[in-house]
Amino acid sequence: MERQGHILVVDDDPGIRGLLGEYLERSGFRVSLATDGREMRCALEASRPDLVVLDVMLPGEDGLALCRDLRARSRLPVIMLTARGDELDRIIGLEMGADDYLAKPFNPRELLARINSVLRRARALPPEQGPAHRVRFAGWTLDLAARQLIAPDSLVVSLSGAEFRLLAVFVDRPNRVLDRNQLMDLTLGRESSPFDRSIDVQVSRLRARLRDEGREPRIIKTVRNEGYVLAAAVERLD
Amino acid sequence: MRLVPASLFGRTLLVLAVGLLLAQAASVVLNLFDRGSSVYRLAAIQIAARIAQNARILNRLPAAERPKVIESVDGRHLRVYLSEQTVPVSRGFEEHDRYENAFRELLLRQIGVSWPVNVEITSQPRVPNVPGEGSVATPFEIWLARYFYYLFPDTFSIVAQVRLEDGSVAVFSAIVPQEPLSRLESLVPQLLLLVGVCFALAGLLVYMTTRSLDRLAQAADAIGSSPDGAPTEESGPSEIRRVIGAFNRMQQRVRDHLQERTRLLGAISHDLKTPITRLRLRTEMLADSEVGAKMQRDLDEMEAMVGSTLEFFRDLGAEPQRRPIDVGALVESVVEDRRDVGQTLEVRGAARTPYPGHPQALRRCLENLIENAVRYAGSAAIELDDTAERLRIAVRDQGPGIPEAELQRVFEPYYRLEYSRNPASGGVGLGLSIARNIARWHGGDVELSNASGGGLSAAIVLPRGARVRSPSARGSG
Repeated sequence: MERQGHILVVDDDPGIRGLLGEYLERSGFRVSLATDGREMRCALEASRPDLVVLDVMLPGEDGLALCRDLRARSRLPVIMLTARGDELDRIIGLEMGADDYLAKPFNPRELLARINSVLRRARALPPEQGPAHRVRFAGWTLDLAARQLIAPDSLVVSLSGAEFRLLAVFVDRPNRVLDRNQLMDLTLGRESSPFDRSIDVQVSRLRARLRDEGREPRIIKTVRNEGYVLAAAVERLD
Repeated sequence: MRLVPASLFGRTLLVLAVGLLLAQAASVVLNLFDRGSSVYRLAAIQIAARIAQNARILNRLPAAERPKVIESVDGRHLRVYLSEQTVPVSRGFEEHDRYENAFRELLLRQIGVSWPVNVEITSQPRVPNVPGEGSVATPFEIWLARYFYYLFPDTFSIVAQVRLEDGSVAVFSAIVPQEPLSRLESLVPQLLLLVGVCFALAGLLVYMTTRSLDRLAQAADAIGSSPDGAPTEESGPSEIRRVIGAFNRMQQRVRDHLQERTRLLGAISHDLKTPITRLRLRTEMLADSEVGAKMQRDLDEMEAMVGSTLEFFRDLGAEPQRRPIDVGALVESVVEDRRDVGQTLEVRGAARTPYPGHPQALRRCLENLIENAVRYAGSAAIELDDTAERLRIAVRDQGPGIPEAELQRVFEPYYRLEYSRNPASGGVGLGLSIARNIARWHGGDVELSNASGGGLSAAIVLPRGARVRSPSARGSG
């Protein structure tokens, strides 16, 4: 908890609101609470939180509308909570501009990890640019929300968790040489597991998925004694 | 081969056809009888007139001149012959007596004089007692003649013996000409035309009726596999329309009931999420971390139940939104994720071409099967087999397998085998149901079998080239 912050929790369930507030305070954050959109706006005028944890299902104006509204006016990071855990909801949530998405019932530690991750990212990125949801590079499309890779011939190519994380790191940093340690750090986020294979194995798997095998890989290139680089322009699609 | 057709159409048509033919045959027979008796009456009058005329002529002539007349009169249809005595003639049948008397009356009236006349209608096709007509009828011919004389008019003859004034007997034997049925052949086309027209009209009527029934059956079938189908159009005869109407209302009620049940279960599962979330937060803040860890495990289990239940009731959508999927990448990505957490999985075979499907759903389907294999056997081998007709992804394990009797039951929602009921090892009991729903949405199925070498094989079989999606069979099987 080296970087603390101010979190605004918006949830209409008093139990969850109170407990979440208490939990985050114990974790070292300053917390404000709001029941609905009206209270959220009041809280935003009264103070400047670093992140909003926003429930999708709210009385009156719902969380998706609030999120879009927030996004239209600021770069304030938003993590959406929803009881509807299906894929569509997640994609819509992310398209509304949420930085992350968590389905109820969530593990509180998972929420904590994501709050930290989003805060870290928000501080690292240029202030006006949020995370991309769909990017295109070398003819391929990576749907970060649906976690799908779509080939130039529109074939859906499934990725394992490790492959997806690695590719996400590359598309976030195109044309930058990343050494193995950096890649290890960046991919071992909250979803790390003790059995993750070495970066070299992951890269070769990823190349196979991208049909980029052979002597001279063209998309993910090897830089001798340094590491790997995504040698392609990355275009944001939204 | 069965004689009675199975379909209502066939049966109705058969009954109508047989009935029509019988009615036609009866009317033809009656018609022939009627015509036949008129013909016979006319023939009898003619024959009587000829016999009477000849008898009178013979009576007038001296004995020496009679043979000349006989020679000129004697022919195929009327044999004439002079005898000293009355010739014995077989008596024929009793039912002929009436006709014999009638003919005798007729003959006497024609002759005009009351000579002793003896008339016999014999069933002998030929008259044996008349010289030159030697052959004797067989018993079969006689039997035929008795009961089917209208078919064989040639088989009887009228033998009239007239005692002339000089005491000699003139024997006349007349064969009744074959008239009544001689034109039967000409009746056949007429009969066939009539039967054909009736048959076609009957067929049309029956077709119209059974077609409505057919559509009803299809509608009932559709309800069985998916209650969400459009109602059947109420058309056809009023009775059928009423049945279709009743059917549509039943379909509506079944659908309402199903939707209500789905909503109820979904709502319960959904509403449980909020208290579970609260419990998680409370547990996380408990001072006693050992109790907290146990409670977290219970909560994990509850969450899995709620999650699977909602997953089970989730519809992939009425319209198939298929995208071409790299099957190899799909299988390998699932396998890689599991290898990353230390599970042992093997992949054999390859898919030949991409498969058009729902990527996330197929991934879930495969994951559920692998999850089962890993849970009960510790490891699994995934075998890809791809032909022009179907894509088969089999998950083989070396576990205990499933008793044959249970192989279908394990697809039932919330059904769990006895040995997997332990919550520490067993799932919720929806994994296979969900997998099957997904496979069926794609027009395929999940097939379970015990491998000969032990262990279980759970295969996703997906049709290739099938454009039509079979309706989702949620909750069945």
